[in-house]
Amino acid sequence: MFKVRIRMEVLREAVEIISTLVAEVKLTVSKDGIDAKAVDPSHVAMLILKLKDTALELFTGETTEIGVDVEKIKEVLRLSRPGDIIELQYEGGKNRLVVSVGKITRHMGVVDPAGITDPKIPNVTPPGVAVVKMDELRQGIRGSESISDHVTLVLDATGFTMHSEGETDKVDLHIPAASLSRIEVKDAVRSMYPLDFFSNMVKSITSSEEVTLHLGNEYPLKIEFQLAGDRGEGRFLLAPRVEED
Amino acid sequence: MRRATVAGSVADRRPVGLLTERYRPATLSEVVGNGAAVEALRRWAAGWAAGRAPPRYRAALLSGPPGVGKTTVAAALAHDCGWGLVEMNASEARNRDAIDRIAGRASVSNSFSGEETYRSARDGGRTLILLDEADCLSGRAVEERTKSAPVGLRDFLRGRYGTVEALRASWSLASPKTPPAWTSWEEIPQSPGRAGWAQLPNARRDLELWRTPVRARDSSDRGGLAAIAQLVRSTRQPLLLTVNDETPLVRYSPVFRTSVARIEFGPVGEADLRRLLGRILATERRSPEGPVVDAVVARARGDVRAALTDLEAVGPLPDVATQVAALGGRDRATPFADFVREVLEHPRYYRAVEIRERIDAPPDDLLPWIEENLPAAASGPVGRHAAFRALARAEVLLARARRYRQYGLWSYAGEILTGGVGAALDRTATDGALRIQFPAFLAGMGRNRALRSLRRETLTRLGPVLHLSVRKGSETMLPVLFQLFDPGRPGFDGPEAARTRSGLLGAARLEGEQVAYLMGVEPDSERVATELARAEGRPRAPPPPDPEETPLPPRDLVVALPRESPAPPGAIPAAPPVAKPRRQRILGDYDPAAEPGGTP
Repeated sequence: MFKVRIRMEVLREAVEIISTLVAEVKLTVSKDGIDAKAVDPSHVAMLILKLKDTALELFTGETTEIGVDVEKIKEVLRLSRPGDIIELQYEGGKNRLVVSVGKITRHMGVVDPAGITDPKIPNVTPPGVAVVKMDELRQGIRGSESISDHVTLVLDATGFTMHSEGETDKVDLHIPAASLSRIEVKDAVRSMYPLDFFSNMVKSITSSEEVTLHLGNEYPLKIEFQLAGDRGEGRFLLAPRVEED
Repeated sequence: MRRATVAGSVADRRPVGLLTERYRPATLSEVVGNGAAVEALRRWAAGWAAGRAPPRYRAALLSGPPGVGKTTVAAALAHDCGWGLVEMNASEARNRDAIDRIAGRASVSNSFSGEETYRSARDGGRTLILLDEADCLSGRAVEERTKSAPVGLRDFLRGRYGTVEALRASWSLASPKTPPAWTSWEEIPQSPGRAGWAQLPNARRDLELWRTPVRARDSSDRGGLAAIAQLVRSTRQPLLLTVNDETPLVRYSPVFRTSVARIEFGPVGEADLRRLLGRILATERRSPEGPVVDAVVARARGDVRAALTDLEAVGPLPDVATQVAALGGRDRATPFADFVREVLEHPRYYRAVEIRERIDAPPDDLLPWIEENLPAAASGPVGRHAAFRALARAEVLLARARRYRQYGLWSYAGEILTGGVGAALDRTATDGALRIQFPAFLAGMGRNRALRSLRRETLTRLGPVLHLSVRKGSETMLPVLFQLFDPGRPGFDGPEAARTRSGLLGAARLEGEQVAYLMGVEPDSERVATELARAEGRPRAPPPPDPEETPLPPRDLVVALPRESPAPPGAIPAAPPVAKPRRQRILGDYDPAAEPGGTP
């Protein structure tokens, strides 16, 4: 049982981020905000997302876990306009989520949260850290997409490099250390990741101007970002490709 | 739903649940039977665990009959090796796209196995990718479009509207002044050309529909085998495929023969099965009753899952005799497989006939076996054709024998079925590679036995009410009943439909199980309870109508019920018959003068 009011832009970004990995998600809704954890079906990528209480316009009720079909929420969002307030109301007994936006009320069935895997998030601490501007990252991804299906991220004293190599072509995005607002690296680190995941993740982050990339050697990538200003935060984890010699 | 099992979770022995779940082996050492196969699997896995270079066979193919533990072994292997497990089973979409997205991604990437610390594949943190029931996939890369012949506009509209009057009404051609005032279908052209009426709003909508080509529905598994064949060569993580029969895979691509470790599982031996059952009975504090265990083991025929399911099913029954009776005693073991192999491998007529005489079974029982295995045995299309002709001849004779009770025909049928088919096969060299399959037809019948008996029971009860035999009811009435009872259909909760249903339920004395069958829901679901309650409360006055609802005129029941109880005092009196119930009102129903705000 709860009732939540949330700005359309905030919900939209959160839903976009979640939908890069899963079709169904378990949300923990409480007075402290909304929490989500997800692992994609191939177990290659993970997400931890938190919307703080300040991201909610209103919360009444008690802490509740619900399973939601992400696509259904997206459908409702398509009906809304920027600036709208979306109201989510859940009655435990009826197992039904009521979403109201403007004059539209949609009743949707929920998914049994017991059927959704609750991923254990591994403790991942990559040694290298770089804070990169989203614009530059997006541009780099656009450049890589036609070249290959994976991307190599390198962090060394000279800066951050995104390298993608196909059979005949290759493309590099190099951001010198001076243009990074933060860089922490001892020895150069380098890992290769599936581009489709990396690209979808970066594209889903829309309100942050910068993201923090944590990098290691053949080690998972950690992308830390904020959403809806500082009213929410999230972390993506992406496992590296298996490299064969 | 995807069982995104993570290694370790299989070890949880929850005190509730089915026996098959509670006693699912968590490690390979607990697996019962198939020792050699399990050992082969271990060796294959060791190739992945040891070093950096992937082993020669990147994938392993586990084949064997159902219920012997192929899927279980996969989970146990992941647990033993400390690997993660990414599983795709037959219940989810497994077309090329889905396989690329899930198994394909997992096959080239490291993954998060659900442990506290992350381990890369290099450090042994591998992910086992399991494609369950891989033989139930289609290899077609592209689904053929159904090429329906183009339909003429006239025929399209006739199919859509039925009568010219309905068409004219829909297109607002009702007034005779609006041309064209069609009166018969023949006046309507097969193509609109540049006629003015094609610009009418409703006509434009219909024309658009008419022009849209009919698309074939997406087959759920198209290109699945192609995607797997590719995975088998390129995966960087251990890949397991399980199949009942490896033929579809091997036939699809030689890669499944050459680049895959093939591990065969067989039925679990009786001794192993007995040991397992004994252990379970001891743990469950159920006394091991010899005859019950005998019957379970005999019925299971090496299928562990079947054995545990049977054991669970007879548990609540009161005494040993009932339990054994429920299990149906020992089936007669007929060595059909060996017999069929001999028939198909010996092209000489009298040899085949002689084999037939050795075994004691009516030719009716042999026919499905021969039919199932014939295509694989024939060396070429000519032999296959000739053999099927012989088979057809035998089948005709069998049908006559049954129909006219002339069982003398059996001897002819039997000879043609064995010797005739064998001789027609034109099989020059026997390589002994013939694998005898259990007839798919019989397997299917076995699987849906419960469903068929439920259908029979439902129709037997409904028979006297509907004046239909079981067979006729199944052919004609069942589809209608499914629609009437389908909770997802619009109008399901309408008073008319509800009354018809409760009338049927009461008259035929249907019970929860049968109602659930008609509704397509679980027997203990709330919907079934609602229906039953409504049927029982029938003689009482119906609940007051919802004030929100537009008061509808009472309607006739669709099905006349023989057990009409006299209306009790206080019930709404039967209304005079209404001309014809109409679901959707049209604007003509409303008198403009009567409407508030209408023209006086």
